[in-house]
Amino acid sequence: MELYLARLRNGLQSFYNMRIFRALSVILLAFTTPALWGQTQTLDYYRNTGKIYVVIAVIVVSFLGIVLFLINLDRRIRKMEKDLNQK
Amino acid sequence: MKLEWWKYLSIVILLYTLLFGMLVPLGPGIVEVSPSRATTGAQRSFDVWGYNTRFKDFDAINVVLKLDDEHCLPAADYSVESDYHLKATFDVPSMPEGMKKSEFATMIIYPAGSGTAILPSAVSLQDGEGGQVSTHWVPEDDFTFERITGLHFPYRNILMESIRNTYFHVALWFAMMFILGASMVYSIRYLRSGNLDWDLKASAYAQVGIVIGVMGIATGMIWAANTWGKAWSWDIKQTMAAVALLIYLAYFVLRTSVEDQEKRARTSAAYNIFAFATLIPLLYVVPRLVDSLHPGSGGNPAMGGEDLDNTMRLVFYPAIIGWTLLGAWVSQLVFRFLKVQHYARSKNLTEQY
Repeated sequence: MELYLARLRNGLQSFYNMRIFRALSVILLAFTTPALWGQTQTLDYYRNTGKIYVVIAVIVVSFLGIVLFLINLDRRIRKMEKDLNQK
Repeated sequence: MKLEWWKYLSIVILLYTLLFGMLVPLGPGIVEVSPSRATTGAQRSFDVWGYNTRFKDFDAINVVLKLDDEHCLPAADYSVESDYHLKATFDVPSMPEGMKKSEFATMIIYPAGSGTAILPSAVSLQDGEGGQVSTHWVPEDDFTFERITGLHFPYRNILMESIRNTYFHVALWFAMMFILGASMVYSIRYLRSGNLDWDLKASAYAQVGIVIGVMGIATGMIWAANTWGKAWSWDIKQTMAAVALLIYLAYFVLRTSVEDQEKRARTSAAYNIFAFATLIPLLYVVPRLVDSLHPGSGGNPAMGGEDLDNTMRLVFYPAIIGWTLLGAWVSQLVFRFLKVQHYARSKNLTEQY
Protein backbone atom coordinates (compact mmCIF):
# COMPACT_ATOMS: atom_id res chain seq x y z
CA MET A 1 0.00 0.00 0.00
CA GLU A 2 2.77 2.43 0.96
CA LEU A 3 4.69 1.53 -2.16
CA TYR A 4 1.59 2.24 -4.21
CA LEU A 5 1.11 5.66 -2.55
CA ALA A 6 4.78 6.55 -3.11
CA ARG A 7 4.45 5.63 -6.77
CA LEU A 8 1.31 7.69 -7.07
CA ARG A 9 3.06 10.66 -5.47
CA ASN A 10 6.02 10.27 -7.80
CA GLY A 11 3.72 10.06 -10.78
CA LEU A 12 1.84 13.21 -9.78
CA GLN A 13 5.12 15.01 -9.13
CA SER A 14 6.55 14.18 -12.53
CA PHE A 15 3.22 15.10 -14.12
CA TYR A 16 3.32 18.47 -12.39
CA ASN A 17 6.93 18.99 -13.43
CA MET A 18 5.90 18.86 -17.06
CA ARG A 19 6.03 22.34 -18.44
CA ILE A 20 2.84 22.00 -20.42
CA PHE A 21 0.83 21.20 -17.31
CA ARG A 22 2.23 24.15 -15.43
CA ALA A 23 1.61 26.50 -18.34
CA LEU A 24 -1.92 25.13 -18.68
CA SER A 25 -2.74 25.64 -15.03
CA VAL A 26 -1.47 29.20 -15.18
CA ILE A 27 -3.59 29.93 -18.24
CA LEU A 28 -6.65 28.30 -16.69
CA LEU A 29 -6.24 30.32 -13.51
CA ALA A 30 -5.75 33.49 -15.47
CA PHE A 31 -8.83 33.01 -17.60
CA THR A 32 -11.14 32.03 -14.81
CA THR A 33 -10.18 34.66 -12.22
CA PRO A 34 -8.43 37.71 -13.70
CA ALA A 35 -9.43 39.46 -10.47
CA LEU A 36 -6.46 37.67 -8.90
CA TRP A 37 -4.17 39.92 -10.93
CA GLY A 38 -3.40 43.47 -9.94
CA GLN A 39 -6.14 46.04 -10.51
CA THR A 40 -4.42 47.84 -13.40
CA GLN A 41 -3.40 44.62 -15.09
CA THR A 42 -6.99 43.38 -14.91
CA LEU A 43 -8.28 46.61 -16.44
CA ASP A 44 -5.78 46.41 -19.30
CA TYR A 45 -6.67 42.79 -19.94
CA TYR A 46 -10.38 43.57 -20.10
CA ARG A 47 -9.78 46.66 -22.24
CA ASN A 48 -7.89 44.64 -24.82
CA THR A 49 -9.99 41.49 -24.94
CA GLY A 50 -13.40 42.86 -23.94
CA LYS A 51 -13.97 39.77 -21.73
CA ILE A 52 -14.44 37.55 -24.79
CA TYR A 53 -12.67 34.68 -23.00
CA VAL A 54 -15.51 34.55 -20.50
CA VAL A 55 -17.80 33.63 -23.38
CA ILE A 56 -15.34 31.01 -24.68
CA ALA A 57 -15.09 29.45 -21.20
CA VAL A 58 -18.90 29.37 -20.88
CA ILE A 59 -19.29 27.68 -24.28
CA VAL A 60 -16.59 25.12 -23.41
CA VAL A 61 -18.29 24.31 -20.09
CA SER A 62 -21.71 23.91 -21.77
CA PHE A 63 -20.19 21.58 -24.37
CA LEU A 64 -18.29 19.59 -21.74
CA GLY A 65 -21.47 19.20 -19.68
CA ILE A 66 -23.27 17.50 -22.57
CA VAL A 67 -20.24 15.38 -23.49
CA LEU A 68 -19.70 14.17 -19.92
CA PHE A 69 -23.38 13.22 -19.66
CA LEU A 70 -23.18 11.28 -22.94
CA ILE A 71 -20.01 9.48 -21.74
CA ASN A 72 -21.85 8.53 -18.56
CA LEU A 73 -24.85 7.28 -20.55
CA ASP A 74 -22.48 5.29 -22.79
CA ARG A 75 -20.98 3.65 -19.70
CA ARG A 76 -24.41 2.72 -18.32
CA ILE A 77 -25.41 1.16 -21.65
CA ARG A 78 -22.14 -0.80 -21.89
CA LYS A 79 -22.64 -2.15 -18.37
CA MET A 80 -26.13 -3.32 -19.29
CA GLU A 81 -24.86 -4.95 -22.49
CA LYS A 82 -22.22 -6.81 -20.47
CA ASP A 83 -24.91 -8.02 -18.05
CA LEU A 84 -27.10 -9.22 -20.92
CA ASN A 85 -24.25 -11.13 -22.54
CA GLN A 86 -23.34 -12.92 -19.34
CA LYS A 87 -26.82 -14.31 -18.75
CA MET B 1 -43.11 7.14 -39.12
CA LYS B 2 -41.68 8.75 -36.04
CA LEU B 3 -40.75 12.39 -36.06
CA GLU B 4 -36.97 12.71 -36.22
CA TRP B 5 -36.33 16.08 -37.86
CA TRP B 6 -36.49 18.13 -34.67
CA LYS B 7 -33.37 16.38 -33.38
CA TYR B 8 -31.30 17.63 -36.28
CA LEU B 9 -33.07 20.97 -36.11
CA SER B 10 -31.60 21.44 -32.62
CA ILE B 11 -28.07 21.11 -34.02
CA VAL B 12 -28.83 23.52 -36.86
CA ILE B 13 -30.31 26.07 -34.44
CA LEU B 14 -27.40 25.77 -31.99
CA LEU B 15 -24.88 26.19 -34.84
CA TYR B 16 -26.78 29.30 -35.92
CA THR B 17 -26.70 30.59 -32.34
CA LEU B 18 -22.97 29.95 -32.05
CA LEU B 19 -22.12 31.64 -35.36
CA PHE B 20 -24.52 34.58 -35.10
CA GLY B 21 -23.87 35.03 -31.39
CA MET B 22 -20.10 35.09 -31.75
CA LEU B 23 -19.65 36.88 -35.08
CA VAL B 24 -21.93 39.92 -34.72
CA PRO B 25 -19.76 42.69 -33.25
CA LEU B 26 -20.63 44.89 -30.30
CA GLY B 27 -21.73 48.47 -30.76
CA PRO B 28 -19.38 51.23 -29.64
CA GLY B 29 -18.81 51.85 -25.95
CA ILE B 30 -16.70 53.82 -23.50
CA VAL B 31 -14.32 51.84 -21.30
CA GLU B 32 -12.97 54.66 -19.19
CA VAL B 33 -13.06 58.44 -18.75
CA SER B 34 -10.20 60.05 -16.85
CA PRO B 35 -10.19 61.96 -14.64
CA SER B 36 -13.40 60.50 -13.24
CA ARG B 37 -14.11 63.52 -10.99
CA ALA B 38 -14.06 67.26 -11.59
CA THR B 39 -15.23 70.49 -10.03
CA THR B 40 -17.54 72.87 -11.89
CA GLY B 41 -16.99 76.46 -12.88
CA ALA B 42 -13.87 76.01 -14.97
CA GLN B 43 -12.56 74.41 -18.13
CA ARG B 44 -12.02 70.68 -17.69
CA SER B 45 -10.55 68.19 -20.14
CA PHE B 46 -11.05 64.45 -20.13
CA ASP B 47 -9.36 61.50 -21.78
CA VAL B 48 -11.95 59.11 -23.19
CA TRP B 49 -11.09 55.50 -24.05
CA GLY B 50 -13.52 53.75 -26.37
CA TYR B 51 -14.28 50.16 -27.29
CA ASN B 52 -15.23 49.25 -30.88
CA THR B 53 -15.15 52.96 -31.66
CA ARG B 54 -13.98 54.60 -34.90
CA PHE B 55 -13.38 58.20 -33.87
CA LYS B 56 -11.17 58.89 -36.90
CA ASP B 57 -14.00 58.16 -39.34
CA PHE B 58 -16.06 61.20 -38.40
CA ASP B 59 -15.54 64.88 -39.08
CA ALA B 60 -17.84 66.09 -36.34
CA ILE B 61 -18.46 64.21 -33.11
CA ASN B 62 -20.91 65.24 -30.39
CA VAL B 63 -19.33 64.73 -26.98
CA VAL B 64 -21.91 65.45 -24.30
CA LEU B 65 -22.00 65.31 -20.50
CA LYS B 66 -25.51 64.59 -19.25
CA LEU B 67 -26.90 65.13 -15.74
CA ASP B 68 -30.52 64.46 -16.63
CA ASP B 69 -32.91 64.99 -19.56
CA GLU B 70 -33.02 68.75 -18.97
CA HIS B 71 -29.34 69.33 -18.25
CA CYS B 72 -26.73 68.41 -20.85
CA LEU B 73 -23.45 70.03 -21.81
CA PRO B 74 -21.75 69.77 -25.22
CA ALA B 75 -17.96 69.76 -25.31
CA ALA B 76 -16.30 73.08 -26.12
CA ASP B 77 -13.62 71.29 -28.07
CA TYR B 78 -12.29 67.82 -28.73
CA SER B 79 -9.32 66.19 -30.42
CA VAL B 80 -9.14 62.66 -31.80
CA GLU B 81 -5.94 60.88 -30.77
CA SER B 82 -6.80 57.52 -32.28
CA ASP B 83 -9.86 55.42 -33.13
CA TYR B 84 -10.08 54.48 -29.45
CA HIS B 85 -8.82 57.60 -27.75
CA LEU B 86 -10.37 61.07 -27.67
CA LYS B 87 -9.63 64.18 -25.60
CA ALA B 88 -12.63 66.39 -24.86
CA THR B 89 -12.70 69.80 -23.18
CA PHE B 90 -15.77 71.16 -21.41
CA ASP B 91 -16.52 74.57 -19.96
CA VAL B 92 -18.42 73.23 -16.99
CA PRO B 93 -20.95 75.69 -15.52
CA SER B 94 -22.11 75.50 -11.89
CA MET B 95 -24.54 72.75 -11.00
CA PRO B 96 -28.08 73.68 -12.09
CA GLU B 97 -30.42 75.00 -9.39
CA GLY B 98 -32.42 72.47 -7.48
CA MET B 99 -29.76 69.80 -7.92
CA LYS B 100 -27.39 68.30 -5.41
CA LYS B 101 -23.94 69.85 -5.03
CA SER B 102 -22.35 66.70 -6.37
CA GLU B 103 -23.80 64.51 -9.08
CA PHE B 104 -22.68 61.81 -11.52
CA ALA B 105 -22.74 62.77 -15.18
CA THR B 106 -23.17 60.39 -18.10
CA MET B 107 -20.79 60.68 -21.04
CA ILE B 108 -22.41 60.42 -24.48
CA ILE B 109 -20.48 60.32 -27.76
CA TYR B 110 -22.26 60.35 -31.11
CA PRO B 111 -21.25 59.21 -33.65
CA ALA B 112 -18.64 56.95 -32.11
CA GLY B 113 -18.73 54.07 -34.55
CA SER B 114 -21.90 52.15 -35.40
CA GLY B 115 -24.00 54.34 -33.17
CA THR B 116 -23.63 56.05 -29.83
CA ALA B 117 -21.16 55.30 -27.06
CA ILE B 118 -22.52 55.86 -23.56
CA LEU B 119 -20.91 55.53 -20.14
CA PRO B 120 -23.28 56.08 -17.20
CA SER B 121 -21.76 57.72 -14.11
CA ALA B 122 -18.65 58.56 -16.11
CA VAL B 123 -17.70 61.70 -14.23
CA SER B 124 -18.47 62.82 -10.68
CA LEU B 125 -19.14 66.56 -10.84
CA GLN B 126 -18.77 68.67 -7.71
CA ASP B 127 -19.80 72.29 -7.31
CA GLY B 128 -16.64 74.36 -7.11
CA GLU B 129 -15.67 78.01 -6.98
CA GLY B 130 -16.56 79.43 -10.28
CA GLY B 131 -18.63 81.46 -12.57
CA GLN B 132 -15.75 81.97 -14.95
CA VAL B 133 -17.47 80.08 -17.73
CA SER B 134 -20.31 81.43 -19.82
CA THR B 135 -21.89 78.13 -20.92
CA HIS B 136 -25.29 76.81 -19.81
CA TRP B 137 -26.88 73.43 -19.34
CA VAL B 138 -29.17 72.64 -22.27
CA PRO B 139 -31.97 70.05 -22.61
CA GLU B 140 -31.16 66.70 -24.22
CA ASP B 141 -33.67 67.39 -27.03
CA ASP B 142 -31.04 69.68 -28.56
CA PHE B 143 -29.10 66.60 -29.64
CA THR B 144 -30.17 63.59 -31.65
CA PHE B 145 -28.56 60.24 -30.96
CA GLU B 146 -28.97 56.98 -32.75
CA ARG B 147 -28.23 54.28 -30.19
CA ILE B 148 -27.04 51.54 -32.54
CA THR B 149 -26.89 51.44 -36.32
CA GLY B 150 -26.64 48.19 -38.24
CA LEU B 151 -26.31 44.69 -36.85
CA HIS B 152 -24.63 45.02 -33.46
CA PHE B 153 -25.14 43.79 -29.93
CA PRO B 154 -25.31 46.57 -27.33
CA TYR B 155 -22.11 47.43 -25.48
CA ARG B 156 -22.76 47.25 -21.76
CA ASN B 157 -20.37 48.58 -19.19
CA ILE B 158 -18.73 45.77 -17.11
CA LEU B 159 -20.40 43.09 -19.26
CA MET B 160 -18.59 44.01 -22.49
CA GLU B 161 -18.34 40.99 -24.84
CA SER B 162 -19.65 38.68 -22.15
CA ILE B 163 -23.17 39.93 -22.99
CA ARG B 164 -23.04 37.04 -25.48
CA ASN B 165 -23.36 34.66 -22.53
CA THR B 166 -27.08 35.45 -22.73
CA TYR B 167 -27.27 32.86 -25.54
CA PHE B 168 -25.59 30.19 -23.45
CA HIS B 169 -25.97 30.72 -19.70
CA VAL B 170 -29.45 32.28 -19.76
CA ALA B 171 -30.75 30.08 -22.58
CA LEU B 172 -29.59 27.00 -20.64
CA TRP B 173 -31.69 27.99 -17.63
CA PHE B 174 -34.75 28.51 -19.84
CA ALA B 175 -34.16 25.12 -21.46
CA MET B 176 -33.87 23.56 -18.00
CA MET B 177 -37.26 24.98 -17.06
CA PHE B 178 -38.86 23.43 -20.15
CA ILE B 179 -37.15 20.06 -19.65
CA LEU B 180 -38.06 19.87 -15.95
CA GLY B 181 -41.57 21.06 -16.83
CA ALA B 182 -41.86 18.18 -19.29
CA SER B 183 -40.63 15.84 -16.56
CA MET B 184 -43.41 17.05 -14.27
CA VAL B 185 -46.02 16.60 -17.00
CA TYR B 186 -44.88 12.99 -17.47
CA SER B 187 -45.13 12.44 -13.70
CA ILE B 188 -48.72 13.68 -13.78
CA ARG B 189 -49.44 11.42 -16.74
CA TYR B 190 -48.04 8.47 -14.80
CA LEU B 191 -50.22 9.21 -11.80
CA ARG B 192 -53.30 9.41 -14.07
CA SER B 193 -52.60 6.29 -16.12
CA GLY B 194 -50.33 4.07 -14.04
CA ASN B 195 -48.30 3.29 -17.17
CA LEU B 196 -44.67 2.80 -16.08
CA ASP B 197 -43.37 4.28 -19.36
CA TRP B 198 -44.39 7.75 -18.21
CA ASP B 199 -42.47 7.28 -14.97
CA LEU B 200 -39.29 6.32 -16.85
CA LYS B 201 -39.76 9.34 -19.11
CA ALA B 202 -40.13 11.64 -16.12
CA SER B 203 -36.92 10.21 -14.67
CA ALA B 204 -35.02 10.63 -17.96
CA TYR B 205 -36.12 14.25 -18.41
CA ALA B 206 -35.29 15.07 -14.78
CA GLN B 207 -31.77 13.64 -15.22
CA VAL B 208 -31.10 15.84 -18.23
CA GLY B 209 -32.73 18.82 -16.52
CA ILE B 210 -30.35 18.44 -13.56
CA VAL B 211 -27.33 18.24 -15.86
CA ILE B 212 -28.44 21.43 -17.61
CA GLY B 213 -28.96 23.06 -14.22
CA VAL B 214 -25.43 22.15 -13.10
CA MET B 215 -24.12 23.57 -16.39
CA GLY B 216 -26.17 26.71 -15.69
CA ILE B 217 -24.59 27.14 -12.26
CA ALA B 218 -21.06 26.43 -13.56
CA THR B 219 -21.38 28.90 -16.46
CA GLY B 220 -22.95 31.41 -14.07
CA MET B 221 -19.95 31.11 -11.75
CA ILE B 222 -17.52 31.80 -14.59
CA TRP B 223 -19.57 34.83 -15.63
CA ALA B 224 -19.83 36.05 -12.02
CA ALA B 225 -16.07 35.71 -11.46
CA ASN B 226 -15.49 38.17 -14.29
CA THR B 227 -18.29 40.64 -13.64
CA TRP B 228 -19.14 40.49 -9.92
CA GLY B 229 -15.52 39.79 -8.92
CA LYS B 230 -16.24 36.48 -7.17
CA ALA B 231 -17.36 33.15 -8.56
CA TRP B 232 -19.61 32.44 -5.59
CA SER B 233 -20.81 35.36 -3.50
CA TRP B 234 -23.81 33.71 -1.80
CA ASP B 235 -26.01 35.90 -3.92
CA ILE B 236 -29.70 35.08 -3.38
CA LYS B 237 -30.09 33.89 -6.99
CA GLN B 238 -27.04 31.63 -6.78
CA THR B 239 -28.07 30.23 -3.41
CA MET B 240 -31.66 29.57 -4.47
CA ALA B 241 -30.50 27.90 -7.69
CA ALA B 242 -28.26 25.60 -5.63
CA VAL B 243 -31.17 24.82 -3.27
CA ALA B 244 -33.41 24.03 -6.25
CA LEU B 245 -30.81 21.62 -7.65
CA LEU B 246 -30.43 19.92 -4.25
CA ILE B 247 -34.21 19.41 -4.11
CA TYR B 248 -34.01 17.70 -7.48
CA LEU B 249 -31.01 15.60 -6.40
CA ALA B 250 -33.19 14.31 -3.56
CA TYR B 251 -35.57 13.06 -6.29
CA PHE B 252 -32.91 10.61 -7.46
CA VAL B 253 -32.00 9.63 -3.92
CA LEU B 254 -35.69 8.82 -3.45
CA ARG B 255 -35.77 6.74 -6.65
CA THR B 256 -32.81 4.59 -5.65
CA SER B 257 -34.01 4.10 -2.08
CA VAL B 258 -37.42 2.55 -2.86
CA GLU B 259 -37.27 -1.12 -3.90
CA ASP B 260 -40.80 -1.75 -5.11
CA GLN B 261 -41.37 -0.55 -8.68
CA GLU B 262 -44.94 0.66 -8.34
CA LYS B 263 -44.22 2.35 -5.05
CA ARG B 264 -41.09 3.99 -6.39
CA ALA B 265 -42.92 5.30 -9.43
CA ARG B 266 -45.80 6.69 -7.37
CA THR B 267 -43.77 8.39 -4.62
CA SER B 268 -41.20 9.84 -7.03
CA ALA B 269 -43.94 11.13 -9.33
CA ALA B 270 -45.56 12.94 -6.43
CA TYR B 271 -42.18 14.29 -5.30
CA ASN B 272 -41.37 15.45 -8.85
CA ILE B 273 -44.52 17.58 -8.97
CA PHE B 274 -43.59 19.06 -5.60
CA ALA B 275 -40.01 19.72 -6.77
CA PHE B 276 -41.16 21.61 -9.87
CA ALA B 277 -43.64 23.57 -7.79
CA THR B 278 -40.80 24.78 -5.53
CA LEU B 279 -38.51 25.49 -8.49
CA ILE B 280 -40.59 28.44 -9.74
CA PRO B 281 -40.61 30.45 -6.48
CA LEU B 282 -36.97 29.57 -5.76
CA LEU B 283 -35.70 30.81 -9.12
CA TYR B 284 -38.18 33.51 -10.08
CA VAL B 285 -39.98 34.83 -7.00
CA VAL B 286 -37.63 34.83 -4.00
CA PRO B 287 -34.67 36.49 -5.81
CA ARG B 288 -36.97 39.32 -6.91
CA LEU B 289 -37.99 40.14 -3.37
CA VAL B 290 -34.52 40.94 -2.07
CA ASP B 291 -31.46 42.76 -3.33
CA SER B 292 -29.28 40.76 -5.65
CA LEU B 293 -26.44 41.25 -8.07
CA HIS B 294 -28.25 39.14 -10.65
CA PRO B 295 -30.43 40.90 -13.25
CA GLY B 296 -34.12 40.36 -12.64
CA SER B 297 -33.85 40.96 -8.91
CA GLY B 298 -34.61 43.71 -6.45
CA GLY B 299 -37.20 45.13 -8.81
CA ASN B 300 -35.10 45.56 -11.97
CA PRO B 301 -36.28 43.62 -15.00
CA ALA B 302 -34.03 40.90 -16.38
CA MET B 303 -35.36 40.76 -19.89
CA GLY B 304 -35.67 44.14 -21.43
CA GLY B 305 -34.10 47.49 -22.05
CA GLU B 306 -30.46 47.47 -22.95
CA ASP B 307 -29.77 43.97 -21.64
CA LEU B 308 -31.78 42.37 -24.42
CA ASP B 309 -32.41 44.41 -27.54
CA ASN B 310 -34.04 43.25 -30.77
CA THR B 311 -30.78 42.08 -32.35
CA MET B 312 -30.10 39.91 -29.31
CA ARG B 313 -33.62 38.50 -29.45
CA LEU B 314 -32.77 37.20 -32.95
CA VAL B 315 -30.25 34.89 -31.28
CA PHE B 316 -31.65 34.49 -27.77
CA TYR B 317 -35.05 32.98 -28.63
CA PRO B 318 -33.63 30.44 -31.12
CA ALA B 319 -30.97 29.59 -28.51
CA ILE B 320 -33.70 28.65 -26.00
CA ILE B 321 -35.43 26.46 -28.61
CA GLY B 322 -32.12 24.88 -29.65
CA TRP B 323 -31.01 23.97 -26.12
CA THR B 324 -34.50 22.69 -25.27
CA LEU B 325 -34.64 20.46 -28.36
CA LEU B 326 -31.13 19.13 -27.70
CA GLY B 327 -32.10 18.43 -24.09
CA ALA B 328 -35.25 16.62 -25.27
CA TRP B 329 -33.17 14.57 -27.72
CA VAL B 330 -30.74 13.43 -25.03
CA SER B 331 -33.68 12.80 -22.67
CA GLN B 332 -35.24 10.52 -25.31
CA LEU B 333 -31.97 8.56 -25.53
CA VAL B 334 -31.93 8.16 -21.74
CA PHE B 335 -35.60 7.10 -21.77
CA ARG B 336 -34.96 4.45 -24.43
CA PHE B 337 -32.05 3.14 -22.40
CA LEU B 338 -34.14 3.05 -19.21
CA LYS B 339 -36.92 1.22 -21.04
CA VAL B 340 -34.61 -1.49 -22.39
CA GLN B 341 -33.03 -1.78 -18.95
CA HIS B 342 -36.47 -2.07 -17.36
CA TYR B 343 -37.49 -4.78 -19.83
CA ALA B 344 -34.25 -6.74 -19.28
CA ARG B 345 -34.69 -6.60 -15.53
CA SER B 346 -38.35 -7.60 -15.62
CA LYS B 347 -37.44 -10.67 -17.75
CA ASN B 348 -34.59 -11.42 -15.33
CA LEU B 349 -32.06 -10.97 -18.13
CA THR B 350 -29.86 -8.76 -15.94
CA GLU B 351 -29.32 -8.48 -12.23
CA GLN B 352 -32.06 -6.85 -10.18
CA TYR B 353 -31.46 -3.67 -8.26
